[in-house]
Amino acid sequence: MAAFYVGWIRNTGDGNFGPAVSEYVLWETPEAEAATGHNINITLLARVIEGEAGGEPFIGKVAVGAVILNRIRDARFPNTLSGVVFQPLAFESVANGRIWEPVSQESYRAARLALAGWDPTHNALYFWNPAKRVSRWIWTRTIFTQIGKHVFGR
Amino acid sequence: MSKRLILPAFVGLLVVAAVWAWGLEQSRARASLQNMLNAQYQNAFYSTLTRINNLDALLGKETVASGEQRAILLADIWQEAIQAQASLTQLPVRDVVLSQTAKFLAQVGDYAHSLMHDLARGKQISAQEQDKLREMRRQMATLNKELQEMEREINKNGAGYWEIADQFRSRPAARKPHTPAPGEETFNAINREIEQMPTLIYDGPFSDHLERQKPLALKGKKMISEAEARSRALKLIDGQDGVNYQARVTGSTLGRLPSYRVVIKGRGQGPDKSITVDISKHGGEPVWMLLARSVGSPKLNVDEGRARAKAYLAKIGKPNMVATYWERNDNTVTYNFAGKENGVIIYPDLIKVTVALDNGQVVGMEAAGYLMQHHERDIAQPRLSEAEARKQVAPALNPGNGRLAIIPTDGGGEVLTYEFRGRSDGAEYLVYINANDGNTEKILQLQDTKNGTLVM
Repeated sequence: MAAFYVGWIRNTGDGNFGPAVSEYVLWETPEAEAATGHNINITLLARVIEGEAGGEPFIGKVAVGAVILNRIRDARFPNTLSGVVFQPLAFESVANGRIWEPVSQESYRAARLALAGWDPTHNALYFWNPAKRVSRWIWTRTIFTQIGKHVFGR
Repeated sequence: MSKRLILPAFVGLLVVAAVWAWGLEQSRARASLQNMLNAQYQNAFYSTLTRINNLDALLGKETVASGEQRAILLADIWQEAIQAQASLTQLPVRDVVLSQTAKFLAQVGDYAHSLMHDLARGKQISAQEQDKLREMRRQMATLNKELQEMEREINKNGAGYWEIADQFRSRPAARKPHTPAPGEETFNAINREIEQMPTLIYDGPFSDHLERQKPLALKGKKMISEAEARSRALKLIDGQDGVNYQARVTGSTLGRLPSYRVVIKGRGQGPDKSITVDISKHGGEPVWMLLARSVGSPKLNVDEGRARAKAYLAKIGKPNMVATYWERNDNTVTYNFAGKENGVIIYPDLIKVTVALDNGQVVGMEAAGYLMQHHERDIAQPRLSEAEARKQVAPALNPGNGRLAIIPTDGGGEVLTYEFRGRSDGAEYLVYINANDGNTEKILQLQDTKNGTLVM
């Protein structure tokens, strides 16, 4: 009963899975999950979703999760979840500590859906709020879609 | 000084002393934090530098190596490149500025890995591939030189080198326009050089051709109208009886699968029951559908849910799909379906269906993988028989009957294999043997959990 996507899972040798095009790069063994009492990948993804899109509609939350996962699969970004989330200057909620605030159930659900492969952004690598002050460079990206207050592009 | 003033003056002095002491402590704490942070950045930088220095040498050796030494060097290149990319992306430089260099390193590693694979199956490195390696070596040497120069600057300026502009101050008024840090300047210069790296196409996940991949299932399909998208979306939802549903196109999306975004609401139902559907502009195929309602306690089991998912696929015109893996999230189950043609399982044709176990309603579907990969396939008769392929599986696995399966390759291609399932030391495995040459294409480990089967 195998699950395949466009690519395969590959062990990079440091305990993380990647670089792969597979959407299952973030699975943990049941033993690991039992030891920590939660799935660390789902929890971390849910934290960023909450921090970056806490006030956004549900689809907008899934979309932010999808962007993070798209980055893991892209050569230009770190190829692990923690690498992408904690990349310096990448996410505002990491810089201001908001990702350590309590996480809603909705963000957990959005994280799971993004991990299961739902991508409302159509493979975007960036998202930003056009109403806020953002770097001029970001507007050179092709915008794929807008969801809630965020636009998503590559 | 009059006696009246002695006490206030004394108190004043105390306050000044206290503020001074507090300020001193604050600035000490700040300096200590700054040093700690800078140490992290220096570590990332020196690690990047060391790895790139190693890569420079390893790529050089690779161009003059022969025999089994080649594979060993390629393995080293792969490892060093992955680590170099990981260290590089920890530098406090904006991702956009690092992206060219990061991509170059990831591709070098990926390319070495794919050549390693070829060597392992007895294929030789071609003259063309040799040229690519030489070109990479040239680029790596340039990168190495630039970073060595950067090191000289850092050595001169010390910890303060990685000064980051205050991008993320909480008060917007305090934000300054972005001023590039010294590190950023150097990487901008590096980018200008690396951008001239020729396009790299090979069988790996970071190959350049994947960036421009077009949906195979929509090839030659006509553009549909908004009205058509609405009616297709309405046919796609698993609506409740007696509810009058209305569809509205709320926007359109670009990307690999340009789509209409359709939002469907039942008359008299709350916004929490609204359904979002993306319908591809070409061909009007569903890309994904989602109803994000809360799901009550389960009345169906996993098998009953699967039957619902299968019936749903038949209803939307995808009857020839077989259920493979499933995953449970709270009270919903997501089933993966693969294509099937002439008895051959086609894993790249992947569609996912989510069923709510409270009433069996289909609350989600996802077919982006299917649309990217599905096409008319001319499945040739395999050169090996099932029995011949079985001989290639490790005997310790004691494999059961094999079946034909098309599986995706790292570089977005496909290969016809026999899929064998077996058990060894208490763990279950799937082994894929190339149906034509008998090579092992992939080994997957299965983990059964209460929430589904994981594939590692």
